[in-house]
Amino acid sequence: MHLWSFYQNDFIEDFQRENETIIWLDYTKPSRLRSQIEEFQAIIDKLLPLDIIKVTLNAHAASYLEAQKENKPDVIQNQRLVELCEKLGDIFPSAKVTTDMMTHNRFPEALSVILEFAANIATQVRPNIYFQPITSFSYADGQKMLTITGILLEKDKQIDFFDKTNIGKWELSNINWGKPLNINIPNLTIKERLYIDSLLPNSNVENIQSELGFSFDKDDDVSIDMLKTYVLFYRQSPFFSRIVV
Amino acid sequence: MVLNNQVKSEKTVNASPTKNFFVEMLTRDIDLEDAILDLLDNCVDGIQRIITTSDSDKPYEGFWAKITLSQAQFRIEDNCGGIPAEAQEYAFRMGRPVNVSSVNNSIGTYGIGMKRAIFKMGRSSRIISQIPNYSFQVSINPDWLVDDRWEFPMEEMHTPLGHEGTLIEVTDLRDEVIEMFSSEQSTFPNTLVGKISHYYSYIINKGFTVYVNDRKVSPKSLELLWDGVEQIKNQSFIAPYLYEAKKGEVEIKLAIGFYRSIASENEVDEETEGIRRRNDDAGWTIVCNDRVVVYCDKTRLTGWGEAKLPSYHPQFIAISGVVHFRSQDARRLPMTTTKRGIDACSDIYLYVKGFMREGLMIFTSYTNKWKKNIPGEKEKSKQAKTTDPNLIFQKIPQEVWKPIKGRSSEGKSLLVERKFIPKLPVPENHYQSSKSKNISFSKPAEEIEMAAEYLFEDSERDPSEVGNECFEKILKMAKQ
Repeated sequence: MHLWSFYQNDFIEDFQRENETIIWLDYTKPSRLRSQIEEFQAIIDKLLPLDIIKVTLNAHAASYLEAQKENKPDVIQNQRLVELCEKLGDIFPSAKVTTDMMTHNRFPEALSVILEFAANIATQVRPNIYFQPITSFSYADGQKMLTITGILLEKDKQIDFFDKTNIGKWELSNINWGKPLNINIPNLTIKERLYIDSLLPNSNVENIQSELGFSFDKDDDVSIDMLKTYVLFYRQSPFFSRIVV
Repeated sequence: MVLNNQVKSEKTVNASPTKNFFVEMLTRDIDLEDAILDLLDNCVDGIQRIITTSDSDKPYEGFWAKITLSQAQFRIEDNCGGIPAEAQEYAFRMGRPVNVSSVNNSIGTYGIGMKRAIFKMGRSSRIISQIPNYSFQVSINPDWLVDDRWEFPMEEMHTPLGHEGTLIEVTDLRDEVIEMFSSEQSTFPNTLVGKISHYYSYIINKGFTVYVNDRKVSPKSLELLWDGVEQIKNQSFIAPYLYEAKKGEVEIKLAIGFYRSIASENEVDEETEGIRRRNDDAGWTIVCNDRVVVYCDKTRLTGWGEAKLPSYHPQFIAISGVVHFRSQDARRLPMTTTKRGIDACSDIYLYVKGFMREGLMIFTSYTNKWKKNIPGEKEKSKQAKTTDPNLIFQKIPQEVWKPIKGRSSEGKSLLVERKFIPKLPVPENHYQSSKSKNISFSKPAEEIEMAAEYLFEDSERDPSEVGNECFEKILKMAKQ
């Protein structure tokens, strides 16, 4: 593995694809959304079929336009839509992004639609190639984020790709630009984590909830959803702890 | 030379047009989005036939058009009055007959839009119209394209729509149209909605509602910064340049100003490098009878780069202008046949272009004066609010408008003509440039962000503001 330090724009301008490539565009600043989307398009332009792109965007609605206390929800959502539209202009998918997506929970959906439109514009010049999404997750590590991974495919190789990889059958895949899967895992103590892990994989979520005897949220349904997400990801979910060697 | 007495017998040769010409050639002159906009223009012309006054702010309120795009068909339905009995004779002809006058305030002139749009999309269609006491359906089948008859079959119907209006369905779609309407990778529905929201912004703002695949289209409107009528008596204030005139049957209204604060040096650099922070609404928009025909133009067509004016550059990203032409007779308007451009040689447009350039120069000059003092400019313009130029026209007091006299022979034919020139702020030391000097330096982006966070608790502040604040702080300490 080689590591280089570049300014992002310099990297995108100078990058020449030589081998099979995986690129992760890891963005955080909402104010730069337009140039981030354009960089995503520029990278698509430079890659070839079977190359993989992962893009992470800040999906925290309030970071794009903070809700003013005196405003009602529909006013806030309308203002956010106008802001997003003005920011993106011709790369804003007016037919698909709606005001009801301008909420904290659904904002990642709007960004997913924006990335879909951007990818379709970028591949217009190569009509036989398209950007095939593979996974789409939203999560919060401080701010809500969206991360979408996809692969460039030749249209006539689509069936072959899914036959060979079985990605469509993977429970975490999202191959039709569907709603991003929200990763909302409860904050667990070591004791809680060890206890829940000891019940897995042979217990269902309702049983675990009942065995624990308390909820992770004041709404029991939300608590169950959090546990379900944990059960889905517990093998991949990292655990950080201070250790003395 | 052939003399008449040398002609042995008179025969004729066939010079009639072929259907292929209309179907294959005319459809090439227009892209699909614009062809669909032609159908929307017909809806609006339908409204113009019905409404009796245009004094209201929302003359098109209650009228709608619903567009549906699918793999099987294109469909547009409206409640805009249907095709009137007198228009049935020519509505289906390829081009408007000379003895037929156009609708008042219409945007359709040439009588080709509907047919061209239908053939652009498919080979079969039906057009249903309902007007009071009469409804009919006209069908176009693929056979029509290959035979020599120019008539379409028409049959009477009994209230097929349940309301007065028109329905057009196009089926047997062309392959590329099916792809554009229904492919998962198609960008067409989004770009169509985007185009409607720009080109129909004034019409939608006046009450017309357009749906595409059941989603309502929101208009994108132009608003310009101004300090408000109460500031007009001050030494300087932020406001647009305005011009209005009436020439024969054509009313003209022009407004140019800032729609946002001017670009900082850093933003200009980024734009030049292709790093765009946000969409760019700069340039001239030209509107004929409420229909946008030129959108955000930044070329010589609208005066940029002509007569001592600079060519467009990201430095001028905040400047936006709009010109409205309005006439009961659409043929008087300086738009091209496709309604997607302006007739740059028309006398009326050339005359108005002089005022466009005058207005533009005021704002390019302002930008040049302030480009070295962006924080100072922000301070001046932060009170200004974006406002609909039409409201500004209404609020400017009579006494501050300036009449225009004897500008040219073209000007003499104008019945009413006046302009409003804003007194924009000038930097304090602008006329004493020897007393001020520029400081310019480059620092790593991370360090600028760190300083911005320290000074403003906002790491994304513009570097010029950060540099200026650093200097101000040190200067304050030095003065103590």
